[in-house]
Amino acid sequence: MAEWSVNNRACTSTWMALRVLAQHKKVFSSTGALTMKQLAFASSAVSDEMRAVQARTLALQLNNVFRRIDGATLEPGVTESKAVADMEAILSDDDKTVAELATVNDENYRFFGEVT
Amino acid sequence: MRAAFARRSVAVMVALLAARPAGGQQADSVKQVSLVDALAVVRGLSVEGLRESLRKLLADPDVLNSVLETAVNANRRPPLLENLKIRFATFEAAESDASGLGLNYSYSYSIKRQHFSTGVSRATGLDFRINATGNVAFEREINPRDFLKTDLALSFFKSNGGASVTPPATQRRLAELRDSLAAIESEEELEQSPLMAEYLRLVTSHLTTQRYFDFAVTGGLESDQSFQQKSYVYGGRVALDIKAWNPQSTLAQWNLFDWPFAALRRLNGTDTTWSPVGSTLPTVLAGVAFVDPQEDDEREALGATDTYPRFNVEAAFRTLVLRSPVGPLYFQSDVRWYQEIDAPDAIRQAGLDKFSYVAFALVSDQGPYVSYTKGRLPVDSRKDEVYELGFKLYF
Repeated sequence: MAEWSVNNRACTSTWMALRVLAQHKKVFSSTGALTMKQLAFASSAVSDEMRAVQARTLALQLNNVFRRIDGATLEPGVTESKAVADMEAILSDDDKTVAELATVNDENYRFFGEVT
Repeated sequence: MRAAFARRSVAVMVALLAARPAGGQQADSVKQVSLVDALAVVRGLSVEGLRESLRKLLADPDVLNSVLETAVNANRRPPLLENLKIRFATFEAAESDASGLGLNYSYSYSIKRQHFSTGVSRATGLDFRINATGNVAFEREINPRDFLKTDLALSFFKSNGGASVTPPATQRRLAELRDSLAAIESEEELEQSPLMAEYLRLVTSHLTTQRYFDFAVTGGLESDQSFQQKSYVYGGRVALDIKAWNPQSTLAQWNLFDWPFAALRRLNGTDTTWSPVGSTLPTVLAGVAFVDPQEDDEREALGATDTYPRFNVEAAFRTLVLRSPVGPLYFQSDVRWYQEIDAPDAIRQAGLDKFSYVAFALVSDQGPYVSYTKGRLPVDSRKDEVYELGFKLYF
């Protein structure tokens, strides 16, 4: 299982970004286990094409929040395209968790205050 | 516990099932029978009883899924296979009582993606990907939805807005606040925390409206699992998704679709003020597809088996209704309309030139509580999660 730790800025940033974007209203400790289908944007009634569009919109906005508001930068060698695509893949999968989303974000972003 | 036993005994199970006296394999069979005897003694089962138990385990989709999940997660998958999902399931034949094991799969891989940031919160991109979904029954006759779909999609997307840049001092303060807020264990305490109020005040002023647009062309193959019946489909579509992420923005306040639910949230105490949510503005898709109706029995009966163009529109909406200690309750809706372009008279008279479908549901983390569905989808657009027609309660 992906690590979910209050000491990991990728986890706290992912938690708060999703909360600010009205995707959940959970405390940090109980958010890591949330699955993508439990987030506010995920409807079980839509077509696959619709779900893909909604996942991409949210992935792009998460990137906006991380980079424009939180001040995160991309890890060396990581492109914005890859960072957004990785989030998109997680958001499109009902069974993936917020902890797994934070894991790919930890690999792609250097959050404010992180050295490596 | 059953799954744990299955994981530890995979190699043994394969050997046991192959342990039949056969010409030329006597020596190997003797070794395997000895192993079976040993296991039977340990578990108190007869040899046949143990073999039967193992057969049942291997026919149990839950056990197989558990083994697959463990095997897949044990080693990091290569990027090409990261988005491959396989689930074993029990298939029930549509026209008999027969059932059997099968699997459904879904796969999406971006072959080539180019993403351009043309400014603050502006993104333009191209994406070329392969998508595949399908159901495969190990006994083909049992498959109730013998349908595989594979397509290539080239899309161009553009997104403007969503957030403005904060100064470094604000970024530092937000990081400090996140660290403090993450330590709070009570949802009520978090909601009422002055630190959260400060965080929202700092962030909200930098959230803006995001406007997303994309255009895609697709081409693919649809077939049964034996590929005896197949057809090629191709088409194009556009998508529009506008999200007013700042709850204080005019667009958020005037999200008319969310007004009834904002009123409900105010009445049930979920919200303390009148708060329409701009992130729930509906998402809209529209497109044209060229459909090959080889699997459409109704059209086949009318002799209309040529490929035909069809226009379609879909709009989706989902918003919070209630937040309770047991979890959130959402209202979700999906509306679709399909119209064949220049349909033959026989098709129009039979009412097969247009389809409309409306689905509303109240859903929680555990699934739907009540749903209402009217209309139907074309054969090629149905999927398993479609709600049953009419009102249905799920208690």
